[in-house]
Amino acid sequence: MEVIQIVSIGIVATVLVVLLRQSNRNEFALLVSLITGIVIFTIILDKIEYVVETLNNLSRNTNIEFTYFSTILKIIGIAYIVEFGAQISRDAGENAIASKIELGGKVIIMVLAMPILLALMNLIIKILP
Amino acid sequence: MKIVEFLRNWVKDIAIIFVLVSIIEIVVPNNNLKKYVNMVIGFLIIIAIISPFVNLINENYSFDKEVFKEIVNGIEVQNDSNLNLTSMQEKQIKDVYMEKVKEDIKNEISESSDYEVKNIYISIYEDEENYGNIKEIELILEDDIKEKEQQDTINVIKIEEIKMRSTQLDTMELEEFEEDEEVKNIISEKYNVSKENIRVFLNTEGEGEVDG
Repeated sequence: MEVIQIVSIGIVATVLVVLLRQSNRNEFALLVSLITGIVIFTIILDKIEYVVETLNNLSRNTNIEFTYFSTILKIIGIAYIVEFGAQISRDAGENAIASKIELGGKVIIMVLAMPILLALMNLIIKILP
Repeated sequence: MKIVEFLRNWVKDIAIIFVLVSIIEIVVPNNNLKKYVNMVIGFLIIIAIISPFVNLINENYSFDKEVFKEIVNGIEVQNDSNLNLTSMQEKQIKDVYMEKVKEDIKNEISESSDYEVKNIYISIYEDEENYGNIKEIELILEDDIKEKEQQDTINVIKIEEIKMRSTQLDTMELEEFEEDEEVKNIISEKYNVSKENIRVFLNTEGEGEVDG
């Protein structure tokens, strides 16, 4: 049922945005698309939580440090949020701001990836005789 | 068993990691951030593959050591329970060896001289350096009676002194045997024993019978 909710919300929002754009109300069109995104995200939040929980349980069965796996989940979340923001900026015609948002996302992903990188380097150095 | 456990954990880790990674690959949004996520996932996979071996190295664990430890343990256990058995085995080996040497000397002498060997007593060195070398040989000989009957001659043997051998030999009359050089030479050449350590006696009982 969530699928129908999400699709219908999306279609209604699209129609609204098109109408608003035709009546030269671009600022409202932007707000509508923003709110639509947030609403859809709220609907799927439960499902995402379930999926992430399952993945966490799976990864706890391994001997690999759990922090590495949660780092990857964080990175995926960051990728989604950055994409969300960047697309809204692009919709508003602000390509420069969109690419700045993406730059920020990339930098933060790299920062999160650094511990994994360091751990990997440590491993390689340790395993050398 | 530790090796099997190790391999089992390792393969399990790799399998789970790849399942997770394939799920994550689907979830990742299709924009230009995907390659960064892929890079981090690649790191994670490499860590999953390498890290068990690093643990092994840190614990100074090696397959060889483990295997040899098992073997040595087994041997030690065996030794503990079979200490008596080991000394018994040594004694048996010594007995067999001496038996072989006696057999050899008997054959040698009966082939190359007129006498037949009735009894041999051998003592061997038991120290580390020349273990198994012959220390002393005592031979008790008899005239080869068959040969004598065929030839119909009587060997005259000088009798210098009569020694009564103690213990097990005391039932026999034995003479220190003068024409023993031949026999001594044979033995000392073959077994590398100095002549002083070879004593040859002649059993006179046989002679008496021939005389009578």
